[in-house]
Amino acid sequence: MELLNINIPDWADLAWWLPEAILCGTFLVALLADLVVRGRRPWLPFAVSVAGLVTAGAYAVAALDPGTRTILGDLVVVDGLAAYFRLLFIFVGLVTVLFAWTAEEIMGRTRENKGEFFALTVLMTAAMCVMAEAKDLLMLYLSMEAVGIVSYVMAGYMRTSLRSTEASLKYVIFGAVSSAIMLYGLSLLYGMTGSMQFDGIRAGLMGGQVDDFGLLVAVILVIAGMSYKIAAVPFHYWAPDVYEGAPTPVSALFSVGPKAAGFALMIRFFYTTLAAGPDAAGSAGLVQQINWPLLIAVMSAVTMTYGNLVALRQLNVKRMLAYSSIAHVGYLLMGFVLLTETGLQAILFYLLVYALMNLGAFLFVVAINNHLRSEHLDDYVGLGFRAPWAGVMMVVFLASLTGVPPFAGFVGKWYLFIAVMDKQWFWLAIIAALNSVVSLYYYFRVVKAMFLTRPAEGANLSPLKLHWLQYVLLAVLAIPTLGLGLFFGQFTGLADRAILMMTTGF
Amino acid sequence: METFLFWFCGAAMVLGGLMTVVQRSAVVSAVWLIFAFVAAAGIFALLHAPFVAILQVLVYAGAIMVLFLFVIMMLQGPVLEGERRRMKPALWPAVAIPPLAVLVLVGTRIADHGTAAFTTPLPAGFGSPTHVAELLLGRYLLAFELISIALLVAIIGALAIGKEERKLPWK
Amino acid sequence: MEVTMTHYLVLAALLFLTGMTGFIVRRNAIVMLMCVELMLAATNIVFAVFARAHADGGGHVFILMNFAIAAAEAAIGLAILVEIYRRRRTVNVDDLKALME
Repeated sequence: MELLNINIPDWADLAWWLPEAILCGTFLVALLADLVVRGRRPWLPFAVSVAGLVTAGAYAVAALDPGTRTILGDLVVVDGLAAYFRLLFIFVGLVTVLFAWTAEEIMGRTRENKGEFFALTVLMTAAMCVMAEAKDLLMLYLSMEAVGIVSYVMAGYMRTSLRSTEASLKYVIFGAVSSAIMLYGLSLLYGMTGSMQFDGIRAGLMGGQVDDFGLLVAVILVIAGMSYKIAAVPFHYWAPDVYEGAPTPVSALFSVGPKAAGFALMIRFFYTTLAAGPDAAGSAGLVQQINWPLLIAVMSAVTMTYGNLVALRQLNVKRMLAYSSIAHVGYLLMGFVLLTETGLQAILFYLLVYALMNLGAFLFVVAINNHLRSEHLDDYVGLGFRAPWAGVMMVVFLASLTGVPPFAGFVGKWYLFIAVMDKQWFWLAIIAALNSVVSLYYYFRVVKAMFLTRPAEGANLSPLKLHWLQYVLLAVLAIPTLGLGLFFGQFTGLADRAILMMTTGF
Repeated sequence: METFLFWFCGAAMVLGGLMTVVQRSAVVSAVWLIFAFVAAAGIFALLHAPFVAILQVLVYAGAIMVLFLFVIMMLQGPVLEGERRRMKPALWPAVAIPPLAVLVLVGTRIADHGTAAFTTPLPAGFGSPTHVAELLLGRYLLAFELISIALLVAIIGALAIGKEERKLPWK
Repeated sequence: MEVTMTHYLVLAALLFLTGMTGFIVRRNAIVMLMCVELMLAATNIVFAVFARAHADGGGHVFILMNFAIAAAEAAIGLAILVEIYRRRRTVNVDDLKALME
């Protein structure tokens, strides 16, 4: 007699999941390697992590055109969208790992647990990839929680001060409650449609047998939970403290990776389950009774305005970048308002640009912190002359974050603007434009401090010598930030194709 | 019989939940929470989810709550006293009732809508360990693997965060 | 009176809101974590209700996964709490600066 009647649906397409498998394996090997050397030779887990990320990246490049492949049943799907984000996440993970290697905050003599940092970054990359691939409520929830748990751990034990420990407590407690709220929404969706599959839910909703009010409440609960993960107002309050408290490489990872993953997940979830169809009534056309585009538009406007206004007051560059990253979530939500293909393509392209410029800005802060042990604006005075190459690259990142032509940030923002203006949402575009002007002020305050402010008498003006790897990485981020602004066709094409593959694939 | 058990377990569960919230002492709260979880296991059993009911007692009321109690005991005194609550207990219902009304309305409307009802015939062995295991190792294999890694991270993280010195025990 | 789906869903809503209210009004971080556990238990009941209603074992799998997630979050949250208590001798969120903003 057969004890268990197990049938695993389909092994055939498992090869398309190699990058994630490699990353998970790398995590385990890096952890074991760290254990074997008892934490004394951090280069070993570092080397393992880099090797794993590079291999996974190579496979991800090879699998850039997957069609639509469901892996082991129908929990996750590898399609254009997943392939695009997978590449982005692996790039972010790799840059973070390499830069952390040069960061005193991680690798300093008194620092512990160096090996775990590399292992956890690799695992976070894998979990973020799964977020972009989930097509089932269970996988959606689990991948979000996996990313959440890794980030709680990273925020919790890589602490720099008591205050940062408290920030990480806030992160865990409110993170847990936000996922409980989202989960209630998910359970209602499951109940009303009888399916956990995104396409099954869609079919259930199309069947028209679903209670309107229940659906409305469920979707609002789900949006609340997701907003916490991408740190959109009013669920943003954890972000500045956590970003400031964590070591800067960790903040750099947090401000780019989980956010992009959250957007990937929202795009797939809303587009394939709730949207009434291309270019219809916006984000959740199947949920009537409420003006979804308006809701998201207000959220977007409030988020960007709040982020920018509070950033104005910050004198700590790291905290300023934390608020600026909240503002950028607001810009990104612009592409989400109408859930048109144009909007989604704009989000994808802007996420790529945002990853480049935001990582670059954070990593400059890391490099400077290595020497000055400070992130305060006053200590940035004269840096433009002490580290001219890095300083110039920082100006590129900041100008791109502001959205000044000819940098990539300008092109990215332009696409987002087009997405809303296409449908006559001019007020949102105007608010976004005004916000960009406001952001000019605080971004350029950093530039001013570095290049224009006269250093005080007797200030230390000796040149700073950065690690060679830091120059290489900053250049790797700065050149595309400049180049994408001029030659963006190739990459917007990639984003277009990713969205097209998703929209036609379901 | 089912009706009686439902009201019994349901009342016990809500009582446990309420007492968890209103008790000033963390230890007493934790004990009431265990009570609520055991009652919830009864509800799971009534819903034809025997395996989940067993695990609710073993994992939730057992392991997780023991962890809570252990930490409370470890921290002792200051944890239990000096809590200034955010608002007067008289105001608590004002926080609770509006969202409760919404969720109750949602619940009744979904139930009345008839897309789902308890009349669906259940296959033999529904919710038994065998049934759940078949799903867990079959259709949901990937989720099962993902959760195992997430738990591994949680173990490492809890060890790394909670250790007394800067060094991990295995280093 | 026969017990219907409505009864179970209202019960779950009651438990969920009990937990959420507790989370809002209590200031002891351990009790706040316990209130989150209450909310998670309530969502588990909703899943069990719908698993029964649709005769779909997937709901049960979701509950089991949720057990694991709840355990992981509790473990990490408590570890951070212990760390804070060690340095500050308090787990009252009013006394924790970063949490007050």
